[in-house]
Amino acid sequence: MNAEYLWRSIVESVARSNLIFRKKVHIMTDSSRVSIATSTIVCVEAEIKGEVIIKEGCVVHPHVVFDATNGPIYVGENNIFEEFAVIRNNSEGQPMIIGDSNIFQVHSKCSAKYVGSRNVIGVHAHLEDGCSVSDDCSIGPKCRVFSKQNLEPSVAVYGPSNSHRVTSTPNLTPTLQLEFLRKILPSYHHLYNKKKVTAAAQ
Amino acid sequence: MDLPIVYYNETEWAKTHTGNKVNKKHAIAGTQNIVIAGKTLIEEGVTIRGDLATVKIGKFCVLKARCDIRPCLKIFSKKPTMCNVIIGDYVYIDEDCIVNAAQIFAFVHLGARAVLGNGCVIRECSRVLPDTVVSPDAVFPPFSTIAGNPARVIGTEPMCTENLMTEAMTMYYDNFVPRQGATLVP
Repeated sequence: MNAEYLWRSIVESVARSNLIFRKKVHIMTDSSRVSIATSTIVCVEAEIKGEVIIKEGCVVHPHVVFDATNGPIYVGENNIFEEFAVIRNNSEGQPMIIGDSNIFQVHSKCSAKYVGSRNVIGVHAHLEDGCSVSDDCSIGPKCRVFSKQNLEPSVAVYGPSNSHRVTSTPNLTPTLQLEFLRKILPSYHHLYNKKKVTAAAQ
Repeated sequence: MDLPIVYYNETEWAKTHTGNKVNKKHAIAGTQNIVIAGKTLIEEGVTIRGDLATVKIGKFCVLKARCDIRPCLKIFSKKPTMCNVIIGDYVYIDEDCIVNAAQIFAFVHLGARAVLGNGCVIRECSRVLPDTVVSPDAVFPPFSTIAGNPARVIGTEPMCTENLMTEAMTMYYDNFVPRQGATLVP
């Protein structure tokens, strides 16, 4: 009951901010439905398709794929997407919601319907269609969260056979790492936002 | 045992004056921070994150397709730093490897799809078997055969690994020839 209430409140709050963001986007860019907050850093090599909304403070490394052709993707604050991560909404029209302070490591694939906050999705990990991950979870390298599986808070998925274990300590928020990346990435990469803006200016 | 001769299309590869051969379809970032000693082959789709920290790669290395070299993050009190990656000479990195290691010493063989965790150290003459997952900050001794998820030492490599790797990697480089040159030979 409680979880359902939380879920609904999150959907509502995202939908609300979505409306606000859309207004901003219409002023900034043309018909594109991609909305990226100003403090978010998205490298130009990233591939973004469909309706994607990324809130403040995220870092998206090069070669990340956001595929929202089948349904929108809403990303919260302070997430890190490392290179070759694939965030794909495979549901039919349902939104994919990603919370705050998550790390999606190299080559991870996510087509979950809901990802909470402070999760670490390891290298080559795979969140299959329609699964949901709550808060403080750690998905180990090459692990899978199966389709329609729901992970409780503070669960670690590890090892070759996807064993589950409840961890006692919450994951740390990657504030320092974010600060570092925000400083260093713009000096080596062209940014998605700037490309959009300059393209619009021309 | 002789390695087969591999022909490559010269239009798709760039050759540097130190003898490195780099496929043009790479995803290398921050080239000013990448130091490659020479005679190293870098195949298609290889990622080297020179933008995050300095990457040093030795001579006669082979980086097969789609492998990813990225510096490891260490959080010291207050300030996080990306550590420099040092890869020794005669290192073979197979396809789809993700190398988050701090240091790989010389004569190391990494199998396909291996994942090296944040800040691990692989010492000389070791072999990492395919599909291995090395946990973060792990340190492995020289001459170890490493396998499993999480990785453990499952055996020892022969004492002649240095010679074997030197010979194999030199031969790999020598047998990697442009197709045009091959057609000229009668």
